[in-house]
Amino acid sequence: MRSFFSRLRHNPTALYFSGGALFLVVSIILIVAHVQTIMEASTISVPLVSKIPLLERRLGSLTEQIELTQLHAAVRTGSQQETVEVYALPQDTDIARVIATFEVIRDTLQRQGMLSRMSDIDIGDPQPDETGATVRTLSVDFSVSDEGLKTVMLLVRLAGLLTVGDALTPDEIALLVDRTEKENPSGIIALEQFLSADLLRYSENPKAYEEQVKRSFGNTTFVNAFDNVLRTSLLRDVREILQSDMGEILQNYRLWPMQMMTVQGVSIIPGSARGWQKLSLKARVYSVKD
Amino acid sequence: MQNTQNTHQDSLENIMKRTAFPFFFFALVLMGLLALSWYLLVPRLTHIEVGGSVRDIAELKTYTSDLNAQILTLQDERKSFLLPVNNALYERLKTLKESRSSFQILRSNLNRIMKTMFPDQDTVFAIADFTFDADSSSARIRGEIRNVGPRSMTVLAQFVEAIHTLPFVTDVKTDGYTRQENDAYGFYSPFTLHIDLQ
Repeated sequence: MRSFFSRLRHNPTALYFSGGALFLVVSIILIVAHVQTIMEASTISVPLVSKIPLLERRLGSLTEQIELTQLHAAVRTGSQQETVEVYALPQDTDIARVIATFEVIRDTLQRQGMLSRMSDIDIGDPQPDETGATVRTLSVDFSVSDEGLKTVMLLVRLAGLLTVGDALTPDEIALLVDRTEKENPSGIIALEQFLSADLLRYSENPKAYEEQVKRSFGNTTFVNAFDNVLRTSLLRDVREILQSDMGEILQNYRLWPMQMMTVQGVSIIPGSARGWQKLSLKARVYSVKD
Repeated sequence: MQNTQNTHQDSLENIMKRTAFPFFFFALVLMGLLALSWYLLVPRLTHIEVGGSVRDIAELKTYTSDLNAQILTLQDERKSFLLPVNNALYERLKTLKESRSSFQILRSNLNRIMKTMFPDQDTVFAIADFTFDADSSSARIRGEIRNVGPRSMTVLAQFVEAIHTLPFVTDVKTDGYTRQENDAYGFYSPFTLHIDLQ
């Protein structure tokens, strides 16, 4: 190695060629780096640069929305949490309250000519459930008209739901939030108040709650999406059922909100009269600990 | 001959000697210019001012992923404010409740199919019983196809096919297609359908 450098020192031509070749290699590396950087700039930077202002705007609007909702939510969450613990998911199942709810359903539907008979209610022993709750199985049979069947099934579906937000699917909520963000970020307050409205109170005067939200949005895109959600979601059925005597009676007897229930099984056999069915319903009633 | 070869070697050596320095100088200048371009020109072309500060490509990528992460965090935070109740068990049960509500949707879709197939005749489908098991997310329908003459099996096949096309139905099984006859309503096809739901 040493002899190579000493020979190189005594031979300037070789020295120039070696140095020139080294510089040329470095130049080629630099040319490749230039090309790569310029290609990256056009394929990566340009799309990123057009995307970043949108992301920054979105971040700004989200921060603004969170600041606006924070205070209101802090007050509200405590009271809703309490309602869940007392009514929807109590420590123990209040069997008298569950039976009273079904008796109210029976009496109201009977008065409306939608139910001819309800069997005894069979409530099982508490069992642990894979959800982490304690569950009791409830079995009851009805002789009901088509409308009566729809009402019974809907009430089981509504059991445990407290607010308008609970009656909407995550996709429906996401759609409304997305439209709010695009059209009027500060409208989130009105939307938040709508979603946290008590389901029974909402069904008593839905127009008042809906207009309050619509007033916050001048643009029709949100209003169209909002109207569509109101028309196609569970809220439509909620308005129909709870606006009737059923809602008023449940409220008068302090049976609303109901305890959380889900359907376990349903059997329908045609009844003796046309348009009437024998409905056997098995439901699960949930509590935190029994 | 020997002389010619020596002269040829001398001239090659001469060319090498004469071109060595220009080659070295050219490579040095080229590298110098490219280095200058790399440190002075390329940053001017590729560094972009976004959000009040100048960033290169790598920094832009990091900044974008930071923004995305912040947006996701804020979205979660907003969701927790928007949903009135922050109770994990309650949320789980609400989701479970939603997934167990497919019975009513199936029933209304079956009624729609029956009405679409025979809009003016409501005695074709005689449903004997309809059961729904939420745990296995499945339903069973027993009944008969009546009052359509000898094509009752075809109507049954069309009914099964129509149920198959429902978006939330994953499978429909029948116990078979048969045609029977009695004095009360002529030809009929009894059926038992096992429907698996999503």
